[in-house]
Amino acid sequence: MAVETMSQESPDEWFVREVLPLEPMIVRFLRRNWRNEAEIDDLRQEAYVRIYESAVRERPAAAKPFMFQIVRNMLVDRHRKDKVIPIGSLTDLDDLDLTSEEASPERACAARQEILRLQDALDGLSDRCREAVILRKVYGMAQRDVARHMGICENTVEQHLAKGVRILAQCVHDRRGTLISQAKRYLKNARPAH
Amino acid sequence: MKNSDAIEDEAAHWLVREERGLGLKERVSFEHWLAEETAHRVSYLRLKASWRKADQLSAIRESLPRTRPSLRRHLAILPKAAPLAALAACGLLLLTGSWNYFSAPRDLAVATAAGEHRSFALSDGTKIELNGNTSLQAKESGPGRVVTLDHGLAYFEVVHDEHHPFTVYAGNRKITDLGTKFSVYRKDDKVEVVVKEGRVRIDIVNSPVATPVFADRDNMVIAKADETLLAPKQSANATDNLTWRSGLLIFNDERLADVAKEFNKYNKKQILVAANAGDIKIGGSFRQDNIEGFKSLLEQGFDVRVKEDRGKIYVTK
Repeated sequence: MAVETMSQESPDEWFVREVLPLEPMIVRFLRRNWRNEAEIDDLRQEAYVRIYESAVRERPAAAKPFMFQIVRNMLVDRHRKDKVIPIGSLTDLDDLDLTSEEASPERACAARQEILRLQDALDGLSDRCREAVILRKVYGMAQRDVARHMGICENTVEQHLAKGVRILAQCVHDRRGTLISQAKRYLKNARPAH
Repeated sequence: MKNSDAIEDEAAHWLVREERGLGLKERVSFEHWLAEETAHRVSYLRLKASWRKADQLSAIRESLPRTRPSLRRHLAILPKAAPLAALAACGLLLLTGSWNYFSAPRDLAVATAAGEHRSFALSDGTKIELNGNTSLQAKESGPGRVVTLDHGLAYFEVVHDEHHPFTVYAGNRKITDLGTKFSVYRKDDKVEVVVKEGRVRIDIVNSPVATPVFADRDNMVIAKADETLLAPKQSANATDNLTWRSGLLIFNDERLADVAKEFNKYNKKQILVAANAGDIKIGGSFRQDNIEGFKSLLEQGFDVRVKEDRGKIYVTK
């Protein structure tokens, strides 16, 4: 039965279910093997394109090793092209525990953690942007009503929400936001009481 | 290749516009944009996945600071009329009682006996399927379409109409369709909702300020009294929960006592499991009316004694 479900699944569904939950691992791997932080997002994007296109041709039995092989090949290609770093310096795949459950979908779904992460993401938004996202997501208002409620035009709501979409994605998938807010929380708690 | 930042920006705008609703022309250019480059598609999928997850934020509503006047103001206009509408709907249904099958729109009451499986359509094309032992009333003559589920399990394939909302009342829960297929099970004050497609909104009827829960595809909601649990379900499981529609019961390592309860929903012949056998774990799929098959499987496969007496099946260790 499991096999049947797999073959019926669209590449889109497969990508969302198997690949996206591994984003923190993929990004960490890229960081460790690429010096220029500014290019990490582009690399991640290119990796996703390669992974998606390979999966359309043939769906792998095990997603994790498949993906890391692709990411690794991509870095090798890049290094070769840029002639920056000798290939040998790539972190060996063996260093990564590919069997670890750390980023498994089950873990990533842990609802409580997710809500905390989303709340962190809200903290990172500008005031107007946050209000739009809260009205839309927490109160379930339609965009038209959000506009009316905030007294701005629908176009501006779209701008706010689009920004919110992107920042939330960063916190949910890549989890970059969480470290910062954890640090903030730590500092808050560490502050002496008056 | 465009850089990821520019693509992500486009993807975010498309996602927001898609949620707002695309016109035909827009829909075409969106499809075109998606197909243009894989980079567009993966970026869109990534944003959409997390944006959907952000629906869980509705759970933090109560914890938001009260210092947001605009939000508070909004709270005040939440539908206080809901319980009244429910009451009115019930009252009218009791009065109308019978119905004319061929006039539309119509108000009707439908009930099934144990083991019976019935489906029908409302005048707008919305499909409703009733499992055994289920009773509900549907009213579509008012401004909205209202179904009241008295007890049992029903599945809804709703033809969405923004101006003619579709709601199901089950116990103290109000389930509002947001373009969807879903099932509702009610037993006394316990209500379970499984979403197969689209979204629903679930409110507590007598408490307009309580947090509404939004359930997505493959979500399952279990509600009792004032507690509402939103469980993210793997797609396979949500399908399992809806397999009664195909007449199949699927169990996955579940207690014999619970399995028997499930069978008893569909059959006149009831299975009674002794306490000492209730904890045996079983799995598999069975036709819900194939109680004989289930019985013989129990005898063969497990260390239990099965005895039938006056229309009841007794299982002991």
